[in-house]
Amino acid sequence: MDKQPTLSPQTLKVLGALISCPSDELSGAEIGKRTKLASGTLYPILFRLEGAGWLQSRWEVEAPAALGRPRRRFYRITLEGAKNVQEVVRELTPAIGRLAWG
Amino acid sequence: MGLIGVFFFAVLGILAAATSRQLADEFKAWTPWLIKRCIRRAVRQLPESLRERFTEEWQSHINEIPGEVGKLFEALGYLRASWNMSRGLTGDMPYALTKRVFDIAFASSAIVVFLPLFAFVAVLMRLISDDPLIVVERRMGHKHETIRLLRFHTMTDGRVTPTGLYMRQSHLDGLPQLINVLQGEMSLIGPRPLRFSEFDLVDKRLPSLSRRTNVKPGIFGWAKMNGFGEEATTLEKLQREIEHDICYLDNRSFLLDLKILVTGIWNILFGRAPRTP
Repeated sequence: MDKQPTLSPQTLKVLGALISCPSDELSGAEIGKRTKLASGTLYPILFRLEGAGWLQSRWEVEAPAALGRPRRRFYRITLEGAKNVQEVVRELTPAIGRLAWG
Repeated sequence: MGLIGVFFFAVLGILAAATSRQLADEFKAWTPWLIKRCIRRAVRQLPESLRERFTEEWQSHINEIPGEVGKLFEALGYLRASWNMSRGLTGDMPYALTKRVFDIAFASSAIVVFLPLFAFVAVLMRLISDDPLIVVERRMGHKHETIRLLRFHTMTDGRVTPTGLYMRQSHLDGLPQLINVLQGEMSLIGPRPLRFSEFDLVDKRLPSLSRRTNVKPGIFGWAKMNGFGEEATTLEKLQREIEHDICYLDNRSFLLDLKILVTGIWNILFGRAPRTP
């Protein structure tokens, strides 16, 4: 497993897009559309997050011949990825809220 | 007079419309090919095991982009993506990519600017003699590959022709090398492309020599800026030139390249330049 990815604003956007509907699997094109990131930025992020185990990806099931076009690759957030994102969110939540809850 | 003017503009309009239509068709026909090349080039920067995956993934991504221009830009984005992936970098473009982009931008605009001059020189030379317009010289390029260095014809049977003399003095004879730059065999800035006869002079095991051939040769260079622009006649001269090249390689940056380019052009305009490679 690679080292923990650095969470740049762009990386957070990508994670945000994938976590908004966790059952959803999104293709690179779809993520690009939702986050408005250029492919030059997007794919390195996907690649690093996958390397770190935060994302996993799979091919579209149908064969390219049946589809009549190249297969899409779908990305999904892993359990570990979701946990890490929650961790980040908790760290970002102001400490005052936590104090109030005891 | 008025009628002639109207007629002239009508013809011009029709010609312009026909040309732009033709260009649009050409562009449409060429984009799939360009895109394929971009993707192939991009995945070549990735480790072997990933190439097949990203070829397919990116092709399917491109399919979903509307419009030919959009597709082309998308394909160019993959070059940047794969570069970042292979280096584990994101954000700023690495030096080599910046340099190539700059080479292409500068050389193509310079060609457009000089096109009338190209045409003028071509017509002039045709009128004066039947010599070929452009001569090809074999020089040593990147990683010992032979490159075909282009320049305007200036000599016949070892003697400089009258137009040739003018072109040599004004450095115009090197203009076609912009095409070498566009083709990617040369860069605007880099060590001078050596003649094979010069290469035979030096000790091939010299480590500095292999570093020198590890980059693309250039039209302008640090060594040239310091007076080593001409063919080296002695081994000592060549060695000193190579020392300058190594100094350049050690300190290479986009800013230094710009400085060399501006100085080189300045020297050409104000007449203190050694000849182009």
